Amino acid sequence: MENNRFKSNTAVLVAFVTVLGAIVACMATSASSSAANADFDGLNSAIRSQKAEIINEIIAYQHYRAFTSYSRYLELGNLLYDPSVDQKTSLANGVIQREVWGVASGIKSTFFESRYITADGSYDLQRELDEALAEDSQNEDLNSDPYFAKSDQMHRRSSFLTADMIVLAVSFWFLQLAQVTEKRIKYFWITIGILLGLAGIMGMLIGRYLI
Amino acid sequence: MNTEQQKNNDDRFDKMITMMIASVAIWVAITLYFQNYASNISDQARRRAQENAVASTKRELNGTIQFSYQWQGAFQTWREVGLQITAADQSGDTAAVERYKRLQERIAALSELLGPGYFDPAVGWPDTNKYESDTYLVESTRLNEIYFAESELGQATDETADSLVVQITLLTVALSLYGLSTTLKGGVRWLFVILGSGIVGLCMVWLSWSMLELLIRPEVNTAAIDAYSEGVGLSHQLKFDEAIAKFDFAIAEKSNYGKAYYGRGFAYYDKNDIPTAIKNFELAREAGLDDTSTNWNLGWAYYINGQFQAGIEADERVMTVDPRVLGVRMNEAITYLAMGDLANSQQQYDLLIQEAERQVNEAHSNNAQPSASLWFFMDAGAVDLQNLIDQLDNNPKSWTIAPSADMIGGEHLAIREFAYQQMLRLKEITVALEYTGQLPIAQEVMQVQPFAFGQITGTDEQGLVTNFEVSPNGRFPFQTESVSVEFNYSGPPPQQVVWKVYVNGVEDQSLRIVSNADISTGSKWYRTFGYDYTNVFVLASGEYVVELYADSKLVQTGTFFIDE
Repeated sequence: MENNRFKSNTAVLVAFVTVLGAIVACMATSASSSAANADFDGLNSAIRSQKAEIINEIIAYQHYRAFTSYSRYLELGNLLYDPSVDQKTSLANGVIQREVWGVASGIKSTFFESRYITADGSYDLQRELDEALAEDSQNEDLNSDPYFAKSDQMHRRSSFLTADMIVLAVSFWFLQLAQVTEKRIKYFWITIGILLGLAGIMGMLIGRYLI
Repeated sequence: MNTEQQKNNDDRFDKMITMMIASVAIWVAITLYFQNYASNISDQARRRAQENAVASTKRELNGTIQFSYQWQGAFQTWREVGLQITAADQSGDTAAVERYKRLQERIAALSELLGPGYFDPAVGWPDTNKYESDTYLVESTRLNEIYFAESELGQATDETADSLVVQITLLTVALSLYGLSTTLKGGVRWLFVILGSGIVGLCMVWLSWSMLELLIRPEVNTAAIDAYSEGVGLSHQLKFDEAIAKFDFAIAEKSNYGKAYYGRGFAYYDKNDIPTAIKNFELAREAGLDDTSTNWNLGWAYYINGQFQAGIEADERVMTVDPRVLGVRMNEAITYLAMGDLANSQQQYDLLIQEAERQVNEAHSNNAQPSASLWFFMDAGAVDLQNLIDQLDNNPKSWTIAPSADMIGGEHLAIREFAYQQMLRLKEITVALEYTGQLPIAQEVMQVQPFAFGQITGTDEQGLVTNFEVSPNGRFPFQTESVSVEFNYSGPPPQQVVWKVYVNGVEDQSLRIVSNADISTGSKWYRTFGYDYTNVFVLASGEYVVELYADSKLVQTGTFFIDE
């Protein structure tokens, strides 16, 4: 009679550990799937980020090339001023000067952002690049790090829970051993099985909440 | 019950369980098949999504590089020669004009952008929007939309595949319970059978649901995507009626296509049909596009249309998710103001300024720059307030965008004064943050008498002004090359002055001047705006508002006009 009750109770424990194993398997699968999703999102974010940076570089250097042309015309106009030349040369220089300064004005108003010209007359290319990247970051999700961090976390969780399944499988093995054993040592086996089962539950909780 | 009966019962039980295990095994196989099916769909959809993301990126990058050459390499060169033609023409050098014209023709032949499809030499400006649409915008939008659709499909089927994995796990538990029940005697074995059967029943219902999910999974509707992409391209070319027709088609193909509603809303907004724009933005939101852009534009459209409470609700949707969006904070502030709620408006402007300062400080502390849009939106916020003032004064300009005076609630005089003070505050803070990275500090600054606009008609050998002719009404004829401003100041000389010029309500940044020059040697000074150093340009006709900031404090404003 007592042996039957022991077997029934052990069977219930075996069933319980089996269900626990299934739950851990689900959690590991779910974590693995979340990791894959985060990897997918992170990769797309990385592609967007690289694209934004390349486009910003192309546009900023396009502006910088225009600024270089502007500087050439502006400086040429400045160099044409020479108070030591005769009046005829001065008049001729004046015509060219007005022409090149006109071209410089046309370039400045259309082909680059004049607010990036600094007080010393150079072009703050880095400021334009930084501002453009900040702008893109506001409009689009360009930071892949949080996705990859989440993916790493989910991969760790999945690995840990898979390892936890081994603990539950060993617990299952000892509980089955207790069930088929007729001698008193069955109590030792069931104790080990229960302890391993508790360790498995602890592993579930750690995997779910601490990893 | 005797032993024989017991043995017969046990045999029957074992046979029944054996059949149940065999049946569940078949169910496991079926579930496994659908899991594999869903997983394959998901993997393939995600692979296609990433293929399209990469293809879209390639298309956009190629297009940007091509456009960069067409615009900067070809058109800028063409334009430079064009300016030289104007200069030569002004100097009466007809031979040079001819030479340059031939040069222009040669350059135009090198560029697709300067070809007949995109360029009319008589106009002198290429249709860049059409070129961008044709070369990459429509195609990269299409590829991007396919990416989104495939991602959505991949996500949905991945979730179904995950749920099927859970079902398979539960079914193996049920099998285990059935197996265990055969090792037991008495009533407890039925507990295992009932529990296992319950799990199997649950899995049967769940599999039906999963199959339904697979049947109604999101689709990649290429007809809708193609129409939407073409609509985006047409909107980019300002062909709003044709764009609306494309968006209509996309919506007919896919009734929950949020982006198509949004695009159509924008097209109606640009056609100045604000009520229809609002309706479409609302439909976009109902279709799930409840993001920053939709609510931002919806809130603004509500504001222009005088639906202030609804505007605040839309703005708040953005602010509760992301309080860093300065443009929306500004819209909320001005919407409260238009309602006559000065207290809430003040609170929103205070929050706006705190956030702007935080963003500037954060960027500088990271050795970076704040977003370019920060300056744009701060400036736009001041312009919006000026527009509101113009409406309250019953003096709307052709560029004014604000609710009409009859829509504005509360005490109009109080609102006007409040709007003016906030506008000054925004302008000064924008200059201070841009040039010092700090909010303006309380300090004594110079006082400047009202500007006098005119022409410098005489200078001495050192270039100092000896004669200045003031235009009494600040009006100048068309073809005026430049206008000078005479100003007298008293008080401490500034360390830095910033001049800003707004032409027809928009700042012309090429006329902005930042100067650290020492002006302590005199109290009367001149500043010239325009192109008198060249014979190529004249000032365009319109209203010119000149602002002078001394150490970030707006010390004087004046207006002159160039007649048509």
